[in-house]
Amino acid sequence: MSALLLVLALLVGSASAEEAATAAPQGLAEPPALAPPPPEEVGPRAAEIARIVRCPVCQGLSVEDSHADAAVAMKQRITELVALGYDEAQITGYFVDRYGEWVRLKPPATGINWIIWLSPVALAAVGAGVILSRRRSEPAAAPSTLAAAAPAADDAYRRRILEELDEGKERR
Amino acid sequence: MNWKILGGGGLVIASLVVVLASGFGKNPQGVSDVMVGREAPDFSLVDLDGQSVSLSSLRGAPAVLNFWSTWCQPCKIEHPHLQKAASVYGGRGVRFLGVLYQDEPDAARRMVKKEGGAFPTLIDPGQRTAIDFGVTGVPETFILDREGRIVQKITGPLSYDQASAILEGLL
Repeated sequence: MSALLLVLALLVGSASAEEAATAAPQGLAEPPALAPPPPEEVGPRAAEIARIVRCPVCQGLSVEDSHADAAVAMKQRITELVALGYDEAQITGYFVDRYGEWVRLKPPATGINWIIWLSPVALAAVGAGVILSRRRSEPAAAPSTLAAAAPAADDAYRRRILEELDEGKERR
Repeated sequence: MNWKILGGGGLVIASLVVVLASGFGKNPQGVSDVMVGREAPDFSLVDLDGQSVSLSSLRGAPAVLNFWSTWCQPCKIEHPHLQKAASVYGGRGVRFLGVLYQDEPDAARRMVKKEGGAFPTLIDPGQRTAIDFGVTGVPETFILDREGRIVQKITGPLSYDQASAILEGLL
């Protein structure tokens, strides 16, 4: 009896996988990488993927953040694919296949994209290097320039004030 | 002069120039040109009269697939050009199809009745077909060869002369 149930379960399982594969849109010929998730997980997973797919009719907005009809339709497609068991790489691949790399809001760290990922780190390192080299080149215990310069600069004024005070005293 | 700072600044500026130069060399509207040269994704949709049409049934003849909507002004400019092209090239075996994009079928029926409908317009629920073709807006037109391969994608209104030049090359 249990063997019969097992065979039936396998048949149902293979039929639903086949259905999922035939229901897959063009370009997603391979079967879903995952088992169909429970219904309560479909929404959050779809939202996660929609956050990294660019809305084609917006300026720098993800499909998740946009309310444009095109973005809503793409989010709907993402949700359908997640429900079938397709994973993030397969779904983003599906959109890249149609819209190009441009559709990714987060470019993958490969090829020339490494410039984008590494340039902030490189710029920060260059900035830190400049600051450190400037600090090292400064004299260790240099006296305050203001304090050092003050007596010399004040001398002429001091002398004049004192002279004028003396003149005043003499007049009185 | 601080040569270190000058060298670092020069390196940063040179990197920016390289990145910007490569970006300016590309057409920002050509984001979905990845579809050109590939086999068109198949679909089976229903037209405004309730007739079912599949792309695979058009194999063997060049086809013009136009995504449009009634709220799109450039589509209205393009409409008479496509009508003319359909009347001229339809007789020479080219199949013309419209696909409604983010629009109500009733609005499309009214426009077709008023402006003329020389070819069927298909209803695309959930914009599945538009997404399959990587459509980013309307009008967008895909020209398919006899094998169903996308040979050209036109973003913006297609003129009769433009359509004629492309189709003559396919016939």
